[in-house]
Formats: sequence, C-alpha cells, structure tokens
Amino acid sequence: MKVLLMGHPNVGKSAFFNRLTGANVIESNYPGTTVDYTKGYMRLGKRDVEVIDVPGTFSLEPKDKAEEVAVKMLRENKGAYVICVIDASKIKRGLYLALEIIEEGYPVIIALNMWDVAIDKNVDVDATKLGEILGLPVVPTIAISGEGVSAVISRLEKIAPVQVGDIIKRTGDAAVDARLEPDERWRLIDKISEKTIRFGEYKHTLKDAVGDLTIRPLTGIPVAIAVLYGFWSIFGSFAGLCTDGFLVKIFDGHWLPWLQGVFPGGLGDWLYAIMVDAGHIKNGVLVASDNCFESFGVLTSGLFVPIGVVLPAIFIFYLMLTLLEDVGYMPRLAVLIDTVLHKIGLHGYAIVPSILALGCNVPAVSATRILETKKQRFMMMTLLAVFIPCGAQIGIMQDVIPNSIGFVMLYLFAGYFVFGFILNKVVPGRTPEILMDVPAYQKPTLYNVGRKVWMRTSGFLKVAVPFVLLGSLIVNILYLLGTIDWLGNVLAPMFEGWFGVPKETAGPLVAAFLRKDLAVAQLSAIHMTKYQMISAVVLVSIYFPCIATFALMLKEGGKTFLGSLAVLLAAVFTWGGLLHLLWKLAGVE
Amino acid sequence: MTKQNTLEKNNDFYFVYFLILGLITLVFGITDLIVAITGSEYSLGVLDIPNDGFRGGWGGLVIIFAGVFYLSGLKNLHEIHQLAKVMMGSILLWIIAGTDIFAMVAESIPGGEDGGWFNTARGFWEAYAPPYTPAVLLLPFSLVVISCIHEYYKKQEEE
Repeated sequence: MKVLLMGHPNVGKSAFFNRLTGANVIESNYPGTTVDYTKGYMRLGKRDVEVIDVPGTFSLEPKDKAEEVAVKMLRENKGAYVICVIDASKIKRGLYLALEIIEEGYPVIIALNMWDVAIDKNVDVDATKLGEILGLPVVPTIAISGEGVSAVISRLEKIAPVQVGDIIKRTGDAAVDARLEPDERWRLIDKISEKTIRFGEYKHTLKDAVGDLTIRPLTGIPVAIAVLYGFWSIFGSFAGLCTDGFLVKIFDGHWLPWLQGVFPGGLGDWLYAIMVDAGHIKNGVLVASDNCFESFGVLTSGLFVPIGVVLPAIFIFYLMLTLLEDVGYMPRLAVLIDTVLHKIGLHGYAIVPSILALGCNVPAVSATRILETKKQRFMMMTLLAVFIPCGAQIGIMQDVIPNSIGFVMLYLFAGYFVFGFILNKVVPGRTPEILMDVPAYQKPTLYNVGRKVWMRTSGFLKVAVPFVLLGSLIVNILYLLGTIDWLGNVLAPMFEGWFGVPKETAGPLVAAFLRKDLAVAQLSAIHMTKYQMISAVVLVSIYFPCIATFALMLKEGGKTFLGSLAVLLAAVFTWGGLLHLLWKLAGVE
Repeated sequence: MTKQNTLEKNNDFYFVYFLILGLITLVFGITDLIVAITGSEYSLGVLDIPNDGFRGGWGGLVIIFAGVFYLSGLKNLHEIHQLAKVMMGSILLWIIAGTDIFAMVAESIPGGEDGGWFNTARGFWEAYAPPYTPAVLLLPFSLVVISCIHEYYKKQEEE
C-alpha cells in the first residue's frame, strides 16, 4: 500500500507529510517548496506504509516541471491511496483537482487543510455533507498544528474508489458515464458548492491592509528596502559577534598555537605545511603564521573557514530567510519584483531560487523547477550559478573585504540583470505570464523555524566541511608540487593584463572549484591593492560554480549545461575584464 | 447619531501627534542621509548620527520612508487603510531601531581583541549608554501606534 499526498502548491502538503511520517521536509509559506517528490513511512495499524509528498499541481495537465513530476508520480502508482490536501478557504479550486484524481479511479480522502484560515475568512464548509455527496471521507485539518491529522490516518484504510457518475447523481443531475470535460467539472463543483459551502461576508482586516501595503509598488518597495536592510544588518552584527568576538580568539589564540606546538615536523616540513602552517617569508626568513586565515593548513584554515567564519553567517542567514518564508513575505517580494524580472524574461517567482542561492546555490538550482519553460530554467540556473554568491562566500567577504562587500554585491547583481537581458534576447523560447497566489501572512511556529534552520545548517556543514578540508589539501599539495606557481606563470598575462589581479590568484581559483568561501579566504593572504582584491573576489564569484552546484546543474540542465558553461566563460571574460577597465578609467588600479 | 469609538474621539490628538512624529522622523532621516553622504561625524547630546553608508545611508532612507508613511496616514486614522500606513511607519522604525539595538547587544558581550572572553560589567553597561541613533530615540514615540491598534480592535469587538 502506498499513500500519495497531492494538492495545489502551498496548501500545507509538506507540513502534512512531516506530521504523518515524522520526517523533516522543508515547509514554507509560499508555493513551490516541494519541486521533487519525497518518500517517507507512516505507521498504519501494524504495518509501515510508504507515503510520497508529491509536488503541488493545480490540475492533471502539467504546466511546469514540478507539475510534470506530480502527474508522473500519480500515473506510476496505480492503486495508491491519495490524500488530497485542499486549502479550505479556496475549496472550489481544490475540488477540481480532487475530481480529476477521483475520475482516474484512485481511492481518495480529502483533507480540508487550513481550516482555521477558512474560519477567519468566513468560509463555512459542511464537511459531513461534502463527504456524503462525494462518497468519501472529508476531514477538516490544520496540518501545521497537527489538528485532524490522526482523523485522516484512522479513516485512510477504509477508503475506496468512487464513480464520478454517482457524485453527479447525488447532486440531483443525471449521471454521465464518460469522463468530464473541464466545463462539466466546474459545473459539478458549482452544484456541490451550492449544497455544502457558504461564503459569508469577509471584512477587510488590519492585517490585510498592512499586507496590501507590502504588495503595492509605491509602498511595497520602501518596505522591501527596509526588510532587506534589517536582514543584512542582523546578518552582519551576528556574524561579527560570533566570529570576531569569540571564534577568532579560539582559533587564532588557542587552536593554532596548540597545533603549532604539538604537530610533528615543524615549520618547513611538508606534512606540517599541508596540515598546519605553510608559514610565510618575512625579511628573507620563513616565519610561522599568527592567524588561521594565513596559515593555509588543512586543520587550521580548513576548519576555521567553515566553522569559525561561515557557520555563524550561514546560521543567521537561514534563520532570517526562514522567518521571511514562514511569515509569508517571499510571495509578496515575488509580486513586487515581477515587473523587473519580466524585463529579463523571468517572472516574480524567480526571486525564490535567487534568494535561496544567497544561502547555497545547490537547493537554488533545484528550485528553478518552479519556472515554467526550459528557457526560464536555463536562464535562472545560469544566472544564479554565475552572479549570486552563496552565504558561505558572503560570510567570508564580510571578514575579508568588509568595506567593499556592498560594491561587489552591486556589481554582481548588475551582471545578473545585464546578462539576463542579453540571454532573454538571444535564447529562444517562451516567457509566459503567470498568476501569483499570495498566501495570508502567518505567525511562524518555533517548531518549524527551528527544524528548518537546523536542517539547512546541518546540511551545509555536511557538505562544506569535507569540501573545504579537501580543497585545502589539494591546493596545499599543488603548491608544494609547484603546480600553482606554474599555472600562475602560464596564466600571468591573462590575470595581470586582462583581469588586473596578481598571478598568485591562480591558487584560490583552483580552490574555488571546490569551495568559493575557501577561495576568498585564500585571497586574503595574497598581497594586493584594495581594487585588485575587489576584482579578485568578483572573479572568484563569477568563475566556475563550486563542484556541488556544477554536478546538480549537469543533472538538472542536461544538454543545456553546455550553454550555461558558454555563458559562464563569456561572463568571466567580459564582466571580470570590464571591472579592470573601470579601475583603469578611474585611475585607481 | 452613531456612537463614536475612542479612536475617532482621539482623532485630533493622533493627527497632531503623528504629524509631529512624522516630521521629526523625516528630518532625522534626511539628516542621516546627508551625514552619510558627506561622511562627517555628527553627535549632539544624546543624538548620534551614523556616518557610514550602510546605517546612515540605507538606514537613513528607511527612516525617511517611515516619516512619509506617518505623514500619509495621519488623516482619518480610524479608517483601516490609514491606520495601516501609520502602523507601517512604526514597523519601519522598529526594524531600524531593532537592528541598532541588536548591534549594541552584539558589541556589548565579547571582551574585545585584547580583553577576556566576555566584556566587564562596566564595559557591558557602557555599551548601552547614550548617545543613541535617531531610530532608537524615536522608538518609544513610535509605540503609541499600539494604542491606536488596541482602540481599533476594541471598536471591532464592539461592532
């Protein structure tokens, strides 16, 4: 026995899935959280039953890749039991999908979720009568708090397929045997609604009025500017408190001196140089490093970068992002930015992968599935991999170039729009209009926020720490073998002449393929001017995506990945070279 | 004749109050922006205007928006959309003041580069001593909007 959780986007399927299975699936207050299916198990009687959280779909005629996955999951699991999760406040839309699934012959149980929102909106649904007409159980639920979920479980085993003809008969019309056309299905829904739903007068509340202000451009843009200010201000203060206040002291004051004392070999030894401290030349003498940024060792820089600098930045980034997601601000931001993004062939929801990419590019590449056409997905994947620095990199930038980080971000975002504009003109394909569903503002729950932040932060640690350690190891070995120096010498004309950065930048660029945060940290140890440093950081950002993003782009993009690579190379040479030209024109090289 | 609720009764008071608050907020925001652009320090009594591009520039812009929200919403405050504008003005101020206070808290805890792990009790309390940024000074005055919201909901309950 298999159970499929189906419904429209943003009706609480992921929250329902977590309640049923006890699993940890990210749930958010905006559509498109689930772009691929997730499997889990729930206890039903004495057996474990497989439950699949299917991506949201409006109907069984898919319009984007996530909806294609949903319909494919349904068709591939003939005989599965379907829990159709419907937003009780928008019940008529949900019934359309439910009827389509019923017509396909699946046993269905309907969870009228967000029951509390329906009550707030004065939508009165007679669940018992609705169940009688449909011939299947209809259970009011509030998945986020778990209300009604056990009632769904207890009735799940007793459900059976129903004939749509019988439903029509129960509404008082003559039954038809054939499958319903969309018009007939809507007429049937109207008949059912007349008998079971009462839409009371809905009074505009203060919450709605404040919500309206966050959507209208004239008032919404100032609010967005304030929200983003708050986001980055808290980000900077918290990361500064943890890193400069405590972690630098731990790593530079205790961890580095301790390792320098106990690790065998000492300065000049090859293993010591790889693992602890390569040292640096001062007045012709090799001297020990006094901080973990410059020591370059696997156990020093390799641990300090992901734990001492990036971890606090990633933690606070995800905490702030989760709060904005769960409150329901993201769809409003999507509406606000829709017009701007249309100029580059995307639409408002492209803001979701774009903002996710500011945390980590990997989930952001997956999130491009919410975009409807191949053209949009290709553009989004390419733009975010090239122009959006991840949270780890931003965290390091905050430490290495605190006064220039704003300029770097602006230059990268400008590249995002310039290249987006060009790609929109060059890449063939459609850029359709979409209607955006803006959910109500919600109070975030501590449980969900805590769980999401933990999942995302621990996910980061699992990926980042091994890659940074590996990156430090490879770069150190390449240094010892002289490969980096050789590479720097070969590429020196391009680095110095075209990009205006020292040839030593070759080392960090090799590391950047494994971890960009490590690469920026390594840049800090190279002697260069402020402007060269900005150019080098930009170069690290727009140069190849890290290996994890690279692999996922290959999986998601297929053949179009070659196109992404071509854009990437064009971006590196033009956008990287343009910055050098700007410095030259300003006379500040 | 319909019975007036408290929010309607105090309309004139709130009008004058948010007019003054809106104007002061606007002036603070513009000063913030000018100080950030010129890059010069400005401190007067308990007031300290940050001169960096982030807090003074970006933050100053948000304070200007807060002032504009106050001024655009003060007429007919008992009307829901007008009250929402005034509330938004306060929310913007709370964002700036909240982040300023959070920055003070973050600076007050660690002992500094050459100090111990944690700040001394004296250093801790000194971090909260004046002068304050404009948003922090305006914070207590912006809280009056809570009273308006309370009166609005009281009216809703009565209806």
